[in-house]
Amino acid sequence: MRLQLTALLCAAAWGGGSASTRVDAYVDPWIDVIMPSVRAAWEGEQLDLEAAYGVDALTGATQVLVVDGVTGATSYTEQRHQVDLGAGVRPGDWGLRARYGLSSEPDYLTHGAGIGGSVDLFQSMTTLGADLRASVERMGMSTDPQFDERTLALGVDLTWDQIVDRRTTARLLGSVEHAWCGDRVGCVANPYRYVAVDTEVGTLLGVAERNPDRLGRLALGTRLSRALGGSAAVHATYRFYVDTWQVTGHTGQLEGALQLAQEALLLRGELRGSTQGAASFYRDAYATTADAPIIPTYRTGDRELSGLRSVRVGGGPEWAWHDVGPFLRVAVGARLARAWYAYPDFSELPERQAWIVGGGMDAEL
Amino acid sequence: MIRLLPSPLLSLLLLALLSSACATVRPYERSALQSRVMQPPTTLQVAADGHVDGTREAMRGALAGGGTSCGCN
Repeated sequence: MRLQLTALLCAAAWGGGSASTRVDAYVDPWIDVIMPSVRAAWEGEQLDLEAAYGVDALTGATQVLVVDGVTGATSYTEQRHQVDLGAGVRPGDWGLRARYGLSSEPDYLTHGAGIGGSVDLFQSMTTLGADLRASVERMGMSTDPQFDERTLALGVDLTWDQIVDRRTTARLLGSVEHAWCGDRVGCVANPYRYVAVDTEVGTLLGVAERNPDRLGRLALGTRLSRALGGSAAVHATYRFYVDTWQVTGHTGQLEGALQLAQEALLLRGELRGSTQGAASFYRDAYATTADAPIIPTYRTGDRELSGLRSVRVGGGPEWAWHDVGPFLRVAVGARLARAWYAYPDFSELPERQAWIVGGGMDAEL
Repeated sequence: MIRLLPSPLLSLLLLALLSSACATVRPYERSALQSRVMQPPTTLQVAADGHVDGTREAMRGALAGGGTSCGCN
């Protein structure tokens, strides 16, 4: 709270700026995550600056498979800290921007950076943008000082914003990423997670998870926004995803917004659904046989790499005041959402339901 | 690659391409596009949602909730 108030006061002292503070929480029967965050931004004639800081405070219980094949629940707490800095210049119909991000949590340290640009065309009817990004992740293990896996990821994001008419806008997005990871556990693997392998002689082995050490991703998306009258709008988003592990997926989202009470009250609602196929090497249960006695090279216990379906429904109000003390605008908002996750190929936990709650304050000078 | 794209996405792509030929919307005609209802939720909420979704699904990218530009700069 002290940090959040500081951000608001900094914005007050920095004319032309804005500040936001927010706390979100994700709660399901197995894990609680509290996510406080602050963001300050300043927009000048030709220069934009931005800084954000957030924390994930995670408390949960996890299933641990030890080497003899016995499973047990272990509770744990963790914190992840994330800092993001950004700057942009916009001398005319074009602009350049740069970003840096740092994420730190036990066993993980990630540096990410990006540069990009955009250009307005056809009397600003069309805006094209391109961003290049790179990240370096270092992963360790508290139980193994020799463990040191590095990941390098490079990506390109392309955007095309188009004004269709006085009430309609469209956005096309394309994203390509390739990651080179350490070969001990591979990309997006959890070095603490073990996979049970049922051997042909009837014993159960606990084997460390291991994924391929290369991962290429392609995502294509579109978003259409349409104003309805003067006080309502609908937004429709769709994304297609495919990667080199043969995961394919579709994500759709419908959002609505409605202004009431002389535009002081804004109500938002959302419906999001996604479906995803499993990675080529994912199995609900791994086993060796007399014909194939070798433990599979790649094996994962990650349910996010299994087939899944998810639905999220939510919404909330936002109330705004204008000309409050030094602020041009102050708004407070809250949000409540319910999420369902189904992992039909993950027999350990085929369903998961969660509440997502959040609230925050924004101030503009 | 084109064969991988589902037909709804191709349709939307085509729609956006064709929209380039639409009549120019002058800056003073863009008030509806600048309305709060046309703007996305706050950057922090979008980031929090992205973080939650990213830890529950393998899918990443091309779902920036940053909304569409109104070309108002």
